Formats: sequence, C-alpha cells, structure tokens
Amino acid sequence: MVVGDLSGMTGQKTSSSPAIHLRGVTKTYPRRGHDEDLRIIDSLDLSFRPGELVTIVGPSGCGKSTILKMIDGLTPLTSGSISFEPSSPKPRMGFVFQDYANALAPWRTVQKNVEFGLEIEGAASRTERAEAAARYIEMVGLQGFETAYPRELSGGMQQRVQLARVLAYEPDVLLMDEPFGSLDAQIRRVMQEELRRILETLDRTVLFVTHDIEESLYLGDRTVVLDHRPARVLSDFEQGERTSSYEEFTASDQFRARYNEVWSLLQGGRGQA
Amino acid sequence: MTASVWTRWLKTLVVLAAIFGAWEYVSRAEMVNQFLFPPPTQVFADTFTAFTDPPYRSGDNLLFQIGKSVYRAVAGWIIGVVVGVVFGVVVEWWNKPGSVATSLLEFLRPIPVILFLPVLVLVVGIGDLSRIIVIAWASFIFVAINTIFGVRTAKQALLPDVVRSFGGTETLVLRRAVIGLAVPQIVAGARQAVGVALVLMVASELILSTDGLGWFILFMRRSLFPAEMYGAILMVGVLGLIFGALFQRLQKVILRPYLD
Repeated sequence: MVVGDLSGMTGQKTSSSPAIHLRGVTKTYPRRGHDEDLRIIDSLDLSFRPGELVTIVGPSGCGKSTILKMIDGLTPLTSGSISFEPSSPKPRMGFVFQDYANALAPWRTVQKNVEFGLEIEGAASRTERAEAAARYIEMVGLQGFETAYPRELSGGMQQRVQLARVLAYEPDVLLMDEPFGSLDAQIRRVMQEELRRILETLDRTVLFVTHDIEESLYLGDRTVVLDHRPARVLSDFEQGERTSSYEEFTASDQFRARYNEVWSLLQGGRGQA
Repeated sequence: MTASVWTRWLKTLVVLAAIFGAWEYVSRAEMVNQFLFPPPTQVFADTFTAFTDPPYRSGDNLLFQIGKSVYRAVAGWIIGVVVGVVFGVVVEWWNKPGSVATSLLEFLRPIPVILFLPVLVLVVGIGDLSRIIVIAWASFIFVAINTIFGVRTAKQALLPDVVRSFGGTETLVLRRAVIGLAVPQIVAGARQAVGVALVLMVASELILSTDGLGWFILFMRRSLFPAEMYGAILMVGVLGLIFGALFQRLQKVILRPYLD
C-alpha cells in the first residue's frame, strides 16, 4: 500500500485535543433473573493527556469498546463522569468501528463515503469536502478508487475508507475500536505500519482499543492494560522510543519483555474471556 | 442479449408456439365448439381490429379501454406507494408502537380489498376514483408493511451510530442512514404492489363495469364475441409482462448504487 503525501497534515506542537478525564466511571446492565446488574465497568479512573497515542488492551468482552463509546457519547454512563479539559468548545470525536462493512454506506461511492462525516457536520462547503476527501483518500492509498462502491473493495480497503472518512473529519479525538480485528494477519500487519505512520503525524489524542497485545505495544506510545469484567486497570505504562518497523520491533528485547509482562498480567487477572 | 437469455426466450417461444399450435388444431378440427372456442389466429385477428374498430356501436375502441385501465392502475399504484412509504417511515421511526401498526396492516392485508368497492362507490360514486382508491389501498398495504420492516431493520444497523458519532441529530440519522438502508426493502414492496395493482385493475372493472379492459372482457362475453374476449384476457397477461419489465427498468435505476 502506498501512502500519499503526508505533508499536508498539521505539524503543530501544541495539540488541539482536550485532556480526557474518566472519574469513577461505572457501567452496568440489568440482568433478567438476577438481583445484581451485570457490571461491565466499575469505578474506573483514567486520564489521557492531549495528543497522546494510547492503546487500550484487554481480553475480549472486558468493556474496552464500551469505554470508547462512553467517551464518544454513543453509550450512556451508569455513574461517574467523563470530562474534557478544556470543556469548551465541545471536542469533536471521530470513531472507527471494527465492523467496517456495515460502517460504510453501501449506496455511496468511496468519495462520498469519505465525505460522509463532514456532510453530517455541515460546516464545510461542497468543494472543501471534496478536497478534504481527495486528500485523505490519497493518504490512505486509495487513489483511483474514488468512484468504487464499498462492496467492490476488499476488507482492508474498506477499513481504509473508514479511516479516510474519520481523518477527513479532522476530529480532536480519534477513537478506534479494534479496527483491524476482522482483517487477516497479512493485511493487519500492513495496516498497522501505515496507521502508525499516519498517527504519528497527527497531533491529536488517539485511543486505540484492541485485544491483540502485539498490536497494542507496537502502536501505542502509552498502553493501558485492562482486566476482564468489570474492567479495571492492571497496568498503565509508557514505552517511549521504538522502531517503526513491525518486524524489528517484535524481534526486540524491549518488546519481548513487555509482551511477557502484559501476557502474565492478563493471565493472572480475574476470570476468563 | 447473452446466450442464456436468448435460449430462454427461444424455449419460451417454442412452448408458446406448441400451445397455440395445439389450440389452433383443436379448434379448426372442430373437436370443440369452434364458435365458443375460436382458433388463436382468429383471436389475434379480431382482437387486433378491435383496437381501432370495436364490434360495438357506442363506446371507445380497445386501445382506449386499455388506456383507461392502465391509467387507473398506475395512478392507484403511485398513490399507494407514496402514501405507503410516508406512512411506513413515520410510523416506524417516530413511534414505539410500530409493531401495533404492523399487526394492524397484517390483519388488513388478507382481506380482499375488492370487497371495499361497493362501499367506496356509495362514497365517491362510480367514476374512476373508486377503483383508483381500491388499487391505491392494496398497494399501500404492501408498501407500508415493507417500509416498516425496512426502517425497523435499518434502525438496528451500525450506520445510524456512525451518523451519531459524527454528531448527527436524529433527523440526520433518518435522512442519511435509515432511509438509504431501507430503500431495497421499500422497492421490494413496490414490486409486489405492481402485481396486486394489475389484478385489482381487472377485478375492479369486472365488478364495477363502466369501461376499461375488464369491462371489455365482460361485454364481449355478454355480446357473444368470444374471440375478442380471449384476446382481451391475453392482453391482461401481456400488460402484466409490460408492467413487470417497466418496473424492472425502474428498479435497476433506483438500486444501481446497491447492486452490481
């Protein structure tokens, strides 16, 4: 996959993203036939600094996606608070869904799909939208496919359309919910490297949820390890400098040590996936 | 035309030729009453002349009668589709008791709409309107049921959440996601309505007979012109094919973004 010209991206030092504070966040679902509700998340405290690239890793079903959805406002909290600093203007969120096939409008071309977010917002003019779309379609390597329909594209390409769509929206916070979970290993590897390259030029907060430990360590400057339901923080660390080559990184000692650490943390946690 | 379409047409033609051939033979050989059961060659010839020169003194020719029928069917279908879509969207999008509406429609669906015709005549008279309403009502039921189902499924899809994630209001969710997702289902309902409209077009004219293709069929029967009668009956089938083909075209245009 060829990545296009990234120089158009803002290279400002100060991030336009807000800090995000989760305080005492709890999410429960009522259960039929049980007295106690199902506790997905219990009194979670977590903060994110502006412009951080954070991966959140944990076993499947531990509530990590729910955390993202609560930050985005798609799912309501049961109790606790999620606040942004500064609190106004209200931060613009971009969400990338795991189910790329259903996240795209099947009756719209790639170009129109990428413009979708901006269309919904309604702030940009038609020409501005088209220009932004063209720029990001090139950035994710889909130039030439502007008039194709999602059904004509492979899974990896469809996910790239979703990525272009959310990037064209230029959100303050980018929330990614296991975006590569439905892709096969080959494609995933390529996408991870390209994504890292794109994200590193973005000076916005990125929260990336996955259950793949390798992926979380490769992509995240900071990694938060969550336990099974109810979700609680098992570990929260920064990795600092690391190579952008997936092969090199996963072969390094730095990686291996961290991997084992996270692995045993998740193994030792309560319950099974 | 591709090879397979061509062979299919050929086979159909061969079968039809065989059927008509047998009919021709049976009739000409007087194995049945030739007057009541005329050979297809005569049927075609007499019907053809009836298009311009009908075997009755007062009244318009067959072409006009067909035109009248088609007008009522098309008008009724269009009204039914439009009202059905609007009703279906409004009911399912804004109300929880969408299921009540569906149950009500499912209850009304099997009731032969034609039974309403006498009542309608009392209300709106014996003009075109009564038959148009009958056709519109039946079309409406099919389209409304399918629209409700389409909107219901669309509401549960992922795309509405996508709109919300970009800060879209619920109105935008409806306009930009739900309607688009429901279109294929709505088109399916409209397609069913085409068949129903055609049947009711003829049936309503058999019951309330002032003009149109159904009236022509009855009149030819009463006036003892069996050839023209059979011809008109065959015309109903031909109209069905034509309507079907026209709708296919329309469907292709509307669904082009959805299919290959």
